[in-house]
Amino acid sequence: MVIYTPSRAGEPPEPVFREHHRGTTAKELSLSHLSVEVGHFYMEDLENGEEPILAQFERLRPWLEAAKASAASGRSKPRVSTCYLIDDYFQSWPDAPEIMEKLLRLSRRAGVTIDYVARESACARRKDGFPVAELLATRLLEEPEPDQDTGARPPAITSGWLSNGRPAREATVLNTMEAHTWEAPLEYGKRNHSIYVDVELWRDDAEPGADREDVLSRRQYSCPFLAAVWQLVRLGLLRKDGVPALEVTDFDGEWKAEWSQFPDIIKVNPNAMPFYAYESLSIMPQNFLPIETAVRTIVDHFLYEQDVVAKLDGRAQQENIAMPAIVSERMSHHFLPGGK
Amino acid sequence: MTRSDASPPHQPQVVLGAVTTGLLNTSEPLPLDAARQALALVPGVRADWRQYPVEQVVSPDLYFGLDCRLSVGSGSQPRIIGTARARAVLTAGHFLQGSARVDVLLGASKRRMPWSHYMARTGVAEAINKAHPADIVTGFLQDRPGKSLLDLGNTGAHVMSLLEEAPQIDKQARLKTQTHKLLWAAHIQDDVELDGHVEAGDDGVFRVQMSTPSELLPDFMEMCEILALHHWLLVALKNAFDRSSRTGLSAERELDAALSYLGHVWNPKAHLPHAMRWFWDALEDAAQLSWEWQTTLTRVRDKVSLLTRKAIEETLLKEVL
Repeated sequence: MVIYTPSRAGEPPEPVFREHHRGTTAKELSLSHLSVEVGHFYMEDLENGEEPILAQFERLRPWLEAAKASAASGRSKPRVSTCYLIDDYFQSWPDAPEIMEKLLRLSRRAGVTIDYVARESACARRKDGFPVAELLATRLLEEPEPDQDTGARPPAITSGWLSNGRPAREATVLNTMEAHTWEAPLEYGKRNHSIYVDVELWRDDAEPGADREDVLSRRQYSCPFLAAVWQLVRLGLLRKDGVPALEVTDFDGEWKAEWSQFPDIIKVNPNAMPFYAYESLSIMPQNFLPIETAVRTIVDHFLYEQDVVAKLDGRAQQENIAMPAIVSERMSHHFLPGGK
Repeated sequence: MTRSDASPPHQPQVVLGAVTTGLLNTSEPLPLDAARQALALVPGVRADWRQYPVEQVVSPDLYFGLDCRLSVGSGSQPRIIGTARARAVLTAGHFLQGSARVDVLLGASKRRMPWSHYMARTGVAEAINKAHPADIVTGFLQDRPGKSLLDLGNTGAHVMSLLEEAPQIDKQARLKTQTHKLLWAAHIQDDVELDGHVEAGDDGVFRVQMSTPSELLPDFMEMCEILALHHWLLVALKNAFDRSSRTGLSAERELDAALSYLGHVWNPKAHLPHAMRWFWDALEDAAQLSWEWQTTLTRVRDKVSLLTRKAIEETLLKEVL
């Protein structure tokens, strides 16, 4: 064995040549303090009578006002924008212009201004064909098994499921007389007792052995998965080449006949505050609670880009706003009482 | 309205790393553009790159979940939970490295926390039992095998394997080489000057141990990657020379491949961070890696000359007869 122990000699002056090309640099965004999602309807609810739609907007209006009043804004005047996500991924009905007209008219009548409208389908695949959902799919990290993961396990999720622990299972049977030994599920990060959650992210319909493009074109993402994309886009955290994975387009005054012709995010209120925000709030009926639990589970496994978060947090700091380190703590929900 | 976090961020006291180095399995070096495509290992993020004096492409960081034990000299093995980070580095279009690292935070928590806690500080693993930084450094560098012990060499090897299926490579490298591992460990102390040493073990593994302030850590890690690459180059060239002495007929082919793949690439100071130059100079004074490289390369070239002269003489002799 040989040991080399260098000692410090006279150090040379500063370097005279520098070259280092950063592949991707996070873009600075215009940011609101809070992005509020105002309500949510399934497409079939939007097709039916106007009364329930108006009622939901009326019920959420006071909570929207409260959110505006309580947004963390440091030394600045609060900047709050509102948005609405259209459920066009699982059901897509042909009368897009009528639905948009109805939605915006009823929200206005209830005193709720919608600033931005986005499509759930765009959270899967953008209008330009780019598979946005895969940005999230490739940025999820499964939880390591206790005392098992030494750094060699590939980080990719291949099953289409994501959990916070280990499912219940039949224990190893050593004695045939005890065939029904059961082992309880386990939440890896539990405090005393477990709440085991297992979320379906997507379902693949392609034949085994199909190429990746084919697999992706036939992959059906779950509602919580697309909602997680939506939350991360609003928070400015999901990026492609340093810019937000979904970008905002101004409304050109005319609604296209097909949902698929809509831009990914449309700015319908010309005076709106910025779409992206430090924090997000979603106000929706309480039947969406299980979905949003799944959304938070997904977001808790999201690998953010350190450069992106450093830029967002740096900006927040300039405004004297302390950002929570945990991404899901930047999101909050208010669930409206009663049915939808 | 303002809000503040309850506790200030902790600084890791120990950082552990492993660099695996090997030849990218392709017949000719990858051009810069192809290398930048192949090393874009995270969709939506491009690879970093440099062109002068030697082309180098660095992938974005990948993260690996950890819940395992650390090897220590004495006492019980501390359990760590969190994530390791690893990147692929391709130098001169042909030399591939998987560089893995984990920042170990001691005394932060006593149980495994919800996963979101670790995802808010990626690249960090928290030890939930008591341990002394010096013990962790020594234990890690000893590299004892163990079922549930941290294995960053495997993390680096996994990152290298991600390039095996890249469409840019033809899987037809002509030079036989083996993958090598270098281990490094840094004790982070903000009130000290950079100081450390390199140890060449009986197993052929270089081990680098350093006390460093945290801001010099990226430079130190880069130096370890440079040392790993040049140690690997030296071993690869010496092995090719040794094989050529044993193989007789195919000697020329061995030497040919070694010269065309390795002959031009020795340049340890090419991307050496400024703050590490004095350390490298001192290391060269003692270990003389560059001298050994030049000597080996001269022997290879001499042998090629001799073989060529012999071949010419044999041809001439045949003509005379």
